[in-house]
Amino acid sequence: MALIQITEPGVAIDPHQRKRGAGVDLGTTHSLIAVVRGGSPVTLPDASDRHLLPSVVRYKREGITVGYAAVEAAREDPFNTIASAKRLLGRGLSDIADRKQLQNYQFTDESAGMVKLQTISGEISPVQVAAEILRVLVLRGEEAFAGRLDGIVITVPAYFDEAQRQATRDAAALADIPVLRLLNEPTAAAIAYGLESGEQGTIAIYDLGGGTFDISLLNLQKGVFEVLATAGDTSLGGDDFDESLAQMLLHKSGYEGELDAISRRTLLLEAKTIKEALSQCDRVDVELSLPAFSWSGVVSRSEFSQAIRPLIETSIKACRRVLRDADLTESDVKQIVLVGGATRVPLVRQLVEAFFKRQPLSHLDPDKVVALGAAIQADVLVGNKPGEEMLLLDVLPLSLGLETMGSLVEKVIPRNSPIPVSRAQEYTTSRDGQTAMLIHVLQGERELVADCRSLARFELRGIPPMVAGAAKIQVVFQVDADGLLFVTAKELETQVKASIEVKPTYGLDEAEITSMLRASVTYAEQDVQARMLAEASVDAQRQIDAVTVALDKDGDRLLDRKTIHHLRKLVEELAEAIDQQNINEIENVNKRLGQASENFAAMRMDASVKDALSGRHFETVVES
Amino acid sequence: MNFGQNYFELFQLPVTFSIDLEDLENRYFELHKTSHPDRYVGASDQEKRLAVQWTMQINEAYQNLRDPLARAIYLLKQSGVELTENPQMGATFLVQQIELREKIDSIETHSDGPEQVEALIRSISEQTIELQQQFIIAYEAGNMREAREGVYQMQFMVKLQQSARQMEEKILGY
Repeated sequence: MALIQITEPGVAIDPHQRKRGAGVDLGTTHSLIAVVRGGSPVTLPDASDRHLLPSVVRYKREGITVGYAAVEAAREDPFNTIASAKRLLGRGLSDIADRKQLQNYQFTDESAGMVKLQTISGEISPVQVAAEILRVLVLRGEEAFAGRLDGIVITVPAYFDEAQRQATRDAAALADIPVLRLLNEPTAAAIAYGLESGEQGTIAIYDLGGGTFDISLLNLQKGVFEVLATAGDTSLGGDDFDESLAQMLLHKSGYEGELDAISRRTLLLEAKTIKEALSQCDRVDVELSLPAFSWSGVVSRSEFSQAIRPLIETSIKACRRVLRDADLTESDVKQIVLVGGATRVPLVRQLVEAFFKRQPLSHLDPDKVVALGAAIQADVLVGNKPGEEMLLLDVLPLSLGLETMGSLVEKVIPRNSPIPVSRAQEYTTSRDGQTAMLIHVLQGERELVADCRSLARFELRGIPPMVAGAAKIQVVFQVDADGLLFVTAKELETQVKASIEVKPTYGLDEAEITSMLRASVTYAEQDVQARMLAEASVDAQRQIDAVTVALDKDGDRLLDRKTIHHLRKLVEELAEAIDQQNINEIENVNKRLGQASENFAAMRMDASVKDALSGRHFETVVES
Repeated sequence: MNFGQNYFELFQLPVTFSIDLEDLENRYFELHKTSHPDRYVGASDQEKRLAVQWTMQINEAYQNLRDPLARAIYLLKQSGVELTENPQMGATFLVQQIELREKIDSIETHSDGPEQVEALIRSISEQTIELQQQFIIAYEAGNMREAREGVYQMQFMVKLQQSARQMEEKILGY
């Protein structure tokens, strides 16, 4: 079996063991996969040499089509052809109630939780749609490498909230693809540009894609990319330009009746074609022939510009906001990077340049730049660039908080805090003898619960009955490097371990993922067994390698001979269990080795953090 | 992990209010280079967990040291000085605060609102820096009562600055 090799930070790996990492840009309108080849990132095309994969999935009675074939079907089979599913990821029906997208699909009637779409092959979650797109892309990657991928980096808009990030992770889990990291799209773009042209200082990334807009300020220096601030709009993009143009065409035609679904979709597709043509020419001759009406005439770039100007101005407002969040002015920005197909629209370039008073960078293909950056990051993360100094420090895009009395939100971790981060907050009971407490986790900047996004409700039970105000409930928020949140709560006074029930409002729970996995034909029962054994073996081998490297390096320095001997013996036992393919034994010994080496690992980590600052020259000298 | 270690020790800095922010940032980056979870992608779960815990600690320390008010509060806590939620402030200070608040609220209707609010924000920043200077003197002299008073005043100024910035956003239509 293929074993995963372990690399210590800064330790060289065997060049023959090059790992297979890939970057995936999971976009609203299209998606891409890129890998690093011969030191440079390249996007991978399909058999017809097309690099972009339209993010469109068609569900049929038998089977599924993804990409161009699905786009073609959009006209005649609108309800079963799901486009722009990214806009629905981690969203509830009420989030999109005012959006035009509602007219395009049949949503199942569910008041709570993530939306589901009614299709000919049953109820489909946007997570499943994303998983199908990931599968197709990963297959491309596997063909290119002639082997299974060790992991992928998936990009998400910097503004994506917790539920949307979780849904993206869930999609990868559903497609059975290991995720190295979720990476903010603008950061990925900066990586693509930063490494190729060596830019330093503050950089603004203006990313106007099909369905999302992001503006991010990054501080690039000393091999570290720091996200200073991000702002944006998860519901603004090139799709909205199409929509504006479609409305304009409708107005010009004089048609006033209701549009049927097929006419609507066709009109939108026509609008998209006209928009693209207007990036090159000043005027376009249009001939529309829809089931609902026909029209022919001319559309000029200036009238199109007039129609979309308010949309672009919304994005410029966000630019102003992000500068102020970072305490900077337009003149502090050294470079502007354009990302996303919609930045090809001349008026976008014009208004961005006017705002920053500087010509934006656009020499990389704005459609590909995010995937290219993700591929570079994936290559670093899988360990192909030992000694690589590049490190990404991210911030929390939106504040996290808890509901308190009076439907108010108390912020626990403010936005733009560097992540990973952990913060504890104490609460108490409000009634005598209260034994349970509902903890409502929210995300957003506003003060009222109703204006923030509900992420989860936790019920803490088993609080021993006390007088009001006597119990001390500690709620701990932990956000990992991907921006994913874990919340735990416990009662401190009595140290009674109280139970917690997690109900993700918009995510999929484990059971749902498992049942979706089961439902997918790819996994027969024996496949599941084989997969579990493979996963356990990989985990165990990882542990073996980690402990062995650690012992070789620091064993003599930090441990006594008895402990070293004990650890070596467990390593041997575990290797034997892997050889025998005995899953129970592997898990058992692996657990024991983990426990036995816990102290050692902690000691090594302490030492390395301490060493990080010694031997370096700093301005301040510590007197000891 | 040594959670008892204080934030200054973690960054190997002397325990003092006056910090060179650029130096602090350099140290922060160096610490991250060894501890960040991205450096442990292929590592065992145990090492990954430790990396996350360390990084959280480093981030927490950085947040507390970087921000002057948070740093002042942290220094007081390290000296065993407790802060209350609703401190009793002197009458002169309160009157001054009320006047500043009224000024912020009245700016909205003024024709030269943007200039006025900008001037006010600058003035609040200057007063805050002055308070920081006073804090340093009191703290270094071991006069904790006065240092604590200074922190309370800084807290008021920070809130005031937030209101002024909100007003600016409102006027400029962000």
